[in-house]
Amino acid sequence: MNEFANKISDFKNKFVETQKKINEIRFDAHWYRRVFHTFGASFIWYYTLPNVDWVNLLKMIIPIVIVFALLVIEILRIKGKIGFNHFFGLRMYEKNRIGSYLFFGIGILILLLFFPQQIAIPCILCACIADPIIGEIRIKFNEKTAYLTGFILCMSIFALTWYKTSLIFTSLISLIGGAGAVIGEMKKFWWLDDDLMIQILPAIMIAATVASIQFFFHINILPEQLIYPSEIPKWMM
Amino acid sequence: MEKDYIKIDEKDWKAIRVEIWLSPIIIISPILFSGYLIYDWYTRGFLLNENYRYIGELFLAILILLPNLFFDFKFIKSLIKYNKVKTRLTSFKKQVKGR
Repeated sequence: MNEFANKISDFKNKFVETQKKINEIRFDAHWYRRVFHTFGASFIWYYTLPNVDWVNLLKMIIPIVIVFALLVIEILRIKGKIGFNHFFGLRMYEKNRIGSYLFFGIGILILLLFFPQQIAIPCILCACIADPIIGEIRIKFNEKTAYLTGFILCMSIFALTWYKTSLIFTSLISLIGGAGAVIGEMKKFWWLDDDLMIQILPAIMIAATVASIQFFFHINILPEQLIYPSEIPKWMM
Repeated sequence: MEKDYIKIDEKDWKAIRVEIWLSPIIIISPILFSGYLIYDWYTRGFLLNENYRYIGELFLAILILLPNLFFDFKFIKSLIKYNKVKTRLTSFKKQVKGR
């Protein structure tokens, strides 16, 4: 009888341990989301594509098609036509709302199509590099430390990508860009994701600054481009 | 906002498998891109004495590469852990069925 009770208790312990292990799968989703963020930096590859008419046309069409396809998938998911179990790493608040990854994609699309690369590249990097680092620091330390580090990090990203302009303007743009990115990350709305805000807010603020300086002082502070398109092979001409 | 992930159970492992199939692209493409930028800086900038013009590409490559390697390492570690959990859980279920 005693042996039977021991077996039952052993079985229970194993069951509890297994349940704990199942919950550990959450960590997988956590790092998956982080890696997905850093993967976004690959979209900057866009600027290395050759500057030829037909390539330029594809550069415009393909990103729109990708984002549109994702939008359709998300609408189908929200309507329940595609089950939740096909999507890994979604958060509870994304259950009845468009997923963050689509906001992330829309942000990148807007930057690639409507902003010059000098503004778009650092803004994309803020979402891809600074955002996951801010998230990790928030978990390990506290919000204040996370935002302070995020501000310094975003400022450095802008400073590194705007090194071709004068020091005063590099500093000014770094401050505005860093502040914009951190405000974009801090402000969280249910209907508007921070993955979009962290990219678009600094971009708008910098574009407005560049335009204002151009308008009032007739100085173009936009530096030379950062990435140069590759040359097209002759057989593709 | 509830920051918890939508719970996944055994049935959803198929979905996770799709994500695992995607992981090589997610991991490799930023590294490849960084490699391309370093190559471009070296061939068009360093070798042709146009360093100032192209050094931005090197900055960018480092900026992309380092955080990517850090998060990739964490992600791969979690994938290995997940596989171990899955194997253990499957063998445990077989044991239970056997009883």
